[in-house]
Amino acid sequence: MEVEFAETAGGLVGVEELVGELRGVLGDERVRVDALERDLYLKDASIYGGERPAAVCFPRTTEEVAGVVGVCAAHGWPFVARGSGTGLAGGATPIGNPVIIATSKMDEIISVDEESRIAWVQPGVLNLDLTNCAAPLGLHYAPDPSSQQVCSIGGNVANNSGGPHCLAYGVTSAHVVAMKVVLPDGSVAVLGDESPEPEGYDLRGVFVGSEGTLGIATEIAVRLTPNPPSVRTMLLVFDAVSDGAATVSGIIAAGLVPSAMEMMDRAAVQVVEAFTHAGLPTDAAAVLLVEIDGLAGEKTLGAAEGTASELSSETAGGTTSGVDSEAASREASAMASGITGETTSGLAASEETIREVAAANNAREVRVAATPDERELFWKARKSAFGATSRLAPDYYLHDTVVPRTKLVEVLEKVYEIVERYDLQVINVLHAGDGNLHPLLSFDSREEGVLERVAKAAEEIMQASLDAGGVLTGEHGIGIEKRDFMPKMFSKADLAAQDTLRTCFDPASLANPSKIIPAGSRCGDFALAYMAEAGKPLPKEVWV
Amino acid sequence: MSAAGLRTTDLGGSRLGSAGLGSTGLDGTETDSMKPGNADHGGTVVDGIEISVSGLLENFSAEVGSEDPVTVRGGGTQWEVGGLPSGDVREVKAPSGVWSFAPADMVVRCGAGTTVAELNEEIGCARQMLPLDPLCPKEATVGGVLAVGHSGHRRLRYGPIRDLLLQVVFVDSLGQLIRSGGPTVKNVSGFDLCKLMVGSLGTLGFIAEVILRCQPVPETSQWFEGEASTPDIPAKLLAELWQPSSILWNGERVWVLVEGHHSDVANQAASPAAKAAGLRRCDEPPLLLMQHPASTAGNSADTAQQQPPSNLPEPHPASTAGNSVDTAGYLNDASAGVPSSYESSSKPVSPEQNETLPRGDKNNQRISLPPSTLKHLPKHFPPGSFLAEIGVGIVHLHSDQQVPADLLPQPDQRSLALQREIKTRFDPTGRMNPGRSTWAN
Repeated sequence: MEVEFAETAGGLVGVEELVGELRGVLGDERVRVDALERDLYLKDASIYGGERPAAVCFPRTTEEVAGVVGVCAAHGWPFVARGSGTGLAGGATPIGNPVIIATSKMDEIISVDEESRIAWVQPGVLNLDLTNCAAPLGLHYAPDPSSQQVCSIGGNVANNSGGPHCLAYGVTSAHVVAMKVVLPDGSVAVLGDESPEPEGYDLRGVFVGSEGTLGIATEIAVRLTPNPPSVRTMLLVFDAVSDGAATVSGIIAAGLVPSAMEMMDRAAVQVVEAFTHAGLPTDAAAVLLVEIDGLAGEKTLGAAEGTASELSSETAGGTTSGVDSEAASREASAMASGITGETTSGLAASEETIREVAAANNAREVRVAATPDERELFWKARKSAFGATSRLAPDYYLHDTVVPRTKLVEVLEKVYEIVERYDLQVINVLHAGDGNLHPLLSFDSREEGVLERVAKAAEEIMQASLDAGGVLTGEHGIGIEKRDFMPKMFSKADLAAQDTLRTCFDPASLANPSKIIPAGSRCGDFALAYMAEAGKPLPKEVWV
Repeated sequence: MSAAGLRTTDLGGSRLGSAGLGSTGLDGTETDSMKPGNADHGGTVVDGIEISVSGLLENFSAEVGSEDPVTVRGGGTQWEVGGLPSGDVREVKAPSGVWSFAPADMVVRCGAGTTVAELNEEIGCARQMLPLDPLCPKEATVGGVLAVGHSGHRRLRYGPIRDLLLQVVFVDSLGQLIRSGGPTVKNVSGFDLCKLMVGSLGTLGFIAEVILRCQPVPETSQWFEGEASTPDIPAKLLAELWQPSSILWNGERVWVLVEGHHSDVANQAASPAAKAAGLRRCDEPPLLLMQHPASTAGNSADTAQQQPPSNLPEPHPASTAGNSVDTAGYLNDASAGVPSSYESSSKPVSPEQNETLPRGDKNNQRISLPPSTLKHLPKHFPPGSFLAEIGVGIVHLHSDQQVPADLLPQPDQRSLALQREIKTRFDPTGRMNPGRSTWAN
């Protein structure tokens, strides 16, 4: 075995001794040390490579995680929790020869309580698996990242992940009720509980989105959301990106909060259409996918009978439907209850408003999914966008910034100008309703100098977003990708306060070191100091 | 910058005029202090308009200082939650004013001292609102509501108030302005100190300014009520109604708030679940039961036990003459016997205030329970003595009995130790709101 050393609080300890103790907790099979196996964990789904980890552990229970972390803590050895490795900011990239604690074998849905609408899950449960499990109860797990088929709930918690439907339903933090976590000293704590206002500080809230730097969530209580009774999915087509973006602001200003509002520019539509054959207009400058949900009038009166995949069969332009006898009876009953009104629905009214806003912003076409299959196709197109870019070039860098919705046009124009200047290809697929930009720069890493151009373009896009009143990241996290840009968003005092929080949980900076907080925000960043002392260089692609 | 564009917001809180509602920011602009990366947290010139908000924040931070014990007071409507400030403590108030509002972004920025009513009045011009829902919106401040962390009765639909807070600027124990979060509706940049501030009762820092996510004002808002002698009825309403804003149950009756498009409200009123519950339109739910424990003129035993700190300024009028509002809302506080002596030396409340503010009662308790346990309440408390927020878990209890321990979530000792560590590191000298505590032990 290749012997590596780390200078630790407990003295100098070799990897063999460390591994021996880890195997004492998990056994030989679940502590992997083969070089090739460890290299599989050199990076996540980002472009940032790290250093070969000391070992890769596969615990199954909270107690086993506590045991592994306890060994690390005893030797002052860093560790990095890893879910499915779908992170895009280098959050799970190992720095400083850490122990990788993979949660992929912690994939049990512990309980689903229909009455309280709360599920307890292990962190390795896949996002979509939880929704599928809850489906028979008419419930689902609302955060739905594009990678929901493969990303894990634990990873979602670490990144406070979003997804298209977070526009109306909120990101992960709004859906996590409580957690059992293993703290960096190996102890176990319960953060929050199933009551709505647990006493004390909201440690649950600060843990979500902390990117594995405060500990490892080993059991997570998440809130399940009732499926909407009816869903209407609209595709708005524009000949100018600015018109699409203005429609986004117009819809919000009109007082609507759709469940999702996603935009793709022409380049994105073209690559997606070639992949999915969803019937998207490849000559359009932009398409806007708007989904609204709620009661569909007389067709779904009074009961949440539908499922998330159920669609209203009302066609485009139809704001009212025929009134059947049952509906008439209900109307009469409503009048008796003291409420009267025409027989229509909020859903139909919202559709009408969206049509008006779109028309005012020069939409050339408005389609409404007429069948569940068509809706599924629309969403398949949207969620396949990033994968489909492999047709353009072998590599891509997916950016993630957020701007005020009203600044979308301004910043998108900036993005086009920047990528043109750096001679790069870009497709824009964005959570437009949240102002969450995802410019995807596609490139061939074998081309000399291209990585530098990508890095510079990415930095300028980030700066343009900040200049417009935006933020560094909306859902991918800081990781190592944006760590050293944090001072662009926060003052030294702001960062010191954040580091104070981290220190409360992890005074030795063992949990996912060198992430989020840039060097210099505290007295002696562990990993940088360690690497400097050990004479080790930073990973090549880490921006410092 | 043109002189005509100058505008100053003073500490008293200049208000956003209706002319500014059609575009971003105060008077149609966006201020740099909404932007991340602005290290001085204000001091702005954008599009020819200056907003001297930075001076307000800096003045507030200077007022908080870095040395002596200090407490921050909002409207005083939940003043006793977590205990009264103790010892020789100096009181400060956060700046107020609605400083920018962007209807098309659905975000608003304001000073923490702004009252909830003022804030909702300003953004209401664009048919937007903030569902903070304190019982006394004219008195309760935005910062105070967030610092206490108690969500209103529409949490079932709009979620907890913590999720409305996008960005916070607070003054830490060193008197520094600290910002966390960001002005956009989505943001995962850095550690989320916003969450730490909500419900922390000002024990870690004093909220100075916030950016909040607004909601559209529903077209229709209607309460219904019906008979509900068993928990099955509210449970069925929760299961079958689409996004009700509130379901309240007292063991014998149920009240349901439905909001949205008028046809949706009508259709929900005619749904099978509504029919089964016999729901009828009503004008007003028994919100008075939501009032928190308070000292009243009759609480002489309490008032006799402890004298008010001599250096405290005049209390809020609402807390006088038996009309103190939602004070000491925590079960833990109540069980700890938090005294209510502060009112004894206060001025009488006016008749008008008597009418607008709910009357307190020392037997009122606000309890946070797992929502699945609410059905057990009638085993312990008679119908009518409690008002449970179905699907949420908040119970407004009017009783001198303690809640059975088996209903309450058990505190986690390691979590408590972490919380003490946080308090110690954020406020090493214990000068921020001494005497107030977010946990029982």
